[in-house]
Amino acid sequence: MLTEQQFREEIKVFVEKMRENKLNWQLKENGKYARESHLETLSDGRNVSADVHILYNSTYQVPTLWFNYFENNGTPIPFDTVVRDILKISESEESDSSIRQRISHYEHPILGVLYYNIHPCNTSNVMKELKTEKGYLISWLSIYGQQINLKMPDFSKLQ
Amino acid sequence: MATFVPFKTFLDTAFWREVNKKKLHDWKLDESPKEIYSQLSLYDTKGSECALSLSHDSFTSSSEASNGLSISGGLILYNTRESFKAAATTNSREELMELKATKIWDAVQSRSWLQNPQLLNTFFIIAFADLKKFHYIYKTCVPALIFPKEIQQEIVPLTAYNANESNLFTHHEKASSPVFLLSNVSNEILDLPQLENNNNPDEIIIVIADPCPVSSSAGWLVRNVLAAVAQLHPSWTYCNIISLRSAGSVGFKFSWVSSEGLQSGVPRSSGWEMHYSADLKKYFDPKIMMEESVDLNLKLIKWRLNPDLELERYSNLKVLILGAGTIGCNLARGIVPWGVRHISFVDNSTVSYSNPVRQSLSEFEDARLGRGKAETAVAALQRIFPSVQATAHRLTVPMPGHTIDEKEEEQLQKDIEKLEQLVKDHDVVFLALDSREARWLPTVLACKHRKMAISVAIGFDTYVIIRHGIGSRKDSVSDDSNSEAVPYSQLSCYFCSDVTAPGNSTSDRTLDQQCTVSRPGTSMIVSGLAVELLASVLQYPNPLETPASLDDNTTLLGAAPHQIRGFLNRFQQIHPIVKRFERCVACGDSIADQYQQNGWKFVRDVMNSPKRLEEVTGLDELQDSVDAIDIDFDDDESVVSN
Repeated sequence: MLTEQQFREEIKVFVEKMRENKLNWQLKENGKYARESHLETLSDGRNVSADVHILYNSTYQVPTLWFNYFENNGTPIPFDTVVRDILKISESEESDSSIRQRISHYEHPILGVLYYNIHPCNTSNVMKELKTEKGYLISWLSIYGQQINLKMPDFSKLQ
Repeated sequence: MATFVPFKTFLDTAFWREVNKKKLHDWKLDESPKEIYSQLSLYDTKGSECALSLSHDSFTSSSEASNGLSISGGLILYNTRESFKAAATTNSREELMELKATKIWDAVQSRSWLQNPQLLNTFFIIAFADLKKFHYIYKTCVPALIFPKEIQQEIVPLTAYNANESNLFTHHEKASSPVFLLSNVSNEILDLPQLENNNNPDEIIIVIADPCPVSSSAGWLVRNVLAAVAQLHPSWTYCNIISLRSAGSVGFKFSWVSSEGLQSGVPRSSGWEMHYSADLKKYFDPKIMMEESVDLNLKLIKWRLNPDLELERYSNLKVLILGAGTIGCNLARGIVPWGVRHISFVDNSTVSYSNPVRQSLSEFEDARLGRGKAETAVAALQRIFPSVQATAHRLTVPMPGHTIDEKEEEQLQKDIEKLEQLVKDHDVVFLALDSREARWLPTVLACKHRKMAISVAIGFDTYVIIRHGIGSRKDSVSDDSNSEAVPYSQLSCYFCSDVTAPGNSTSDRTLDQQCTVSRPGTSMIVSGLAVELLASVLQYPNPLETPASLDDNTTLLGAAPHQIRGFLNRFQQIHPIVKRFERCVACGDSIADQYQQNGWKFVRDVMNSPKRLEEVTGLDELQDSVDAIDIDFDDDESVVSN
């Protein structure tokens, strides 16, 4: 678990590291959360924008991943398409850390529009089993980011 | 000829939500341009355009601009579709773009761009937002000066420029400068103003942060830099550029036809994007948002737990709830979250003061104003979920033993017709009426029309749920299976276990014997269970054939019991499976025949004399034969009945 203070310290270092590794993370609202955006290609060839945020969840005291996908005019991509073309999560995937079991759709606490979110109830269990010597957030994202196809830096290069 | 990769605007829902809010609360009818900011990414490699991204934070200038490249622009939001259309005509658009291009050209002429290269980058959006329909139309322009003329490009490997890409990147990040210089002589990074003193295009390389995803071309922003360079050094006919990108920077040598002296007027410009529109009703219209959220929630159940779950079996289902009391209300609250949208309530009474604390769809005011229970339930459901299609019917269900006289017969006939029509028009009938005899006619009707009927009843601390056998016994396929499952058509109804006909059960009873007095949690428990029983049954391949079985592989959601009987005094529950009784006073074959032949008159007779049911079914003879058996008991032996 992380205190909010720890989260804020970690997220700052995290964004710096990601940027050093040429990943488009940004610190938002004085370090309240971090944001990454990139394009994803759907199976019909269209490019849609992906918006990914890392926010602190004070109930579970862990970071949470919020994300959504939009057409260029701002229309969210339908859930079925997201599952099929972007998340590509197989129906048999049943690991405890799999977002398949934890994905939800809620009003984003800052944006006020619906975003997907990975429910944080299991995060601290998953994190207990991980070595976090590379930093809590990077280890965390290596688990959860992977499941939404987030680009991660080459770990061998990270200090 | 060199081509430059144009921009494509990428907005998200949160951007439009901010527009909605600001238009309503701050801007109102003000059409003046509003300053907005776009965060450009040097990281994209997908797509064939540069992405101009706008989100909820595009309305405040970023104090965190050090994280990357931000450009400022303007949003002109017109009040009417007509004024937008007028602004979107070719002439108006040319004028608007010229205005912005003039500003850029001013920065070029005054050389202020050397101090602040951001002056070369701007964009603007003309838009109309219909805040009633949540429909948006918009068009974006990122003006680029068409100067100098006939630009040619040649790609140069970065090694030829002796460039250390990661140093350049670090400098860009730290200094947050979108344009800077790299000396081709000393290999040092220089600030942009030094370009003024440099007269040899071979000695200097101009580094431009470029959000272009296409590796064979430079992005749109490079054009204005070339225009500024050509105007700063009229003698130059080429220059060296590094287009700085995360996925691999690209070196270019751009050359052009000498401009032969200074360009005097503002050059022509281009940069309008396609016309776009967005329909976001689903995301902003509160009623539709709720519908979508309810549906998505169910989709998540399906996606997470059971990919084969047939959700449309709930959303297409028409449910008739007979009795809008505690159980009826709770049943409705339970099926709506499953996606059921069509609900009809039948009740004949009004909300009384004791009701609101127990009934989840009524309130004090409903009792004070003496509103009908069915109407109250419908109104509350619609307040809870405006998309629900609920209707109320005030109707007294005809009951055996509740005698009527001749002048009431016309009304009776109408009531029976209406009830029969309601049963026909729905897929499921919940029998949540407060007396035994009120369940009789609905049972007969559900049998006749082969509808699912589920009886839900409570005592003080007991409850029972029975799903009645479908159709008539004659329908049942021969029971050749060796499993313990019993076919749906062979299941008993609420009355099958009775050996007497239902009579007027409330007439000789004290208050505590009437079932309306019960432990308050009972109704919630029984309603929840009944809803989930229905939910399970509906997932059987053909729900009308769902056998009664406690095997949790019976349907996608598990077991499909026939009866659920609970005893709160011991917190126990049993799940008997009981076969149909051929002489049943409600679902028996002879009753069905009688109703078929005599219709409402049969009902009238039964109302006036419930014994009629026993005659029709032969129960009276059965009763007599049981009574005729003479059993000798020893005096000291007690008989315990169960």
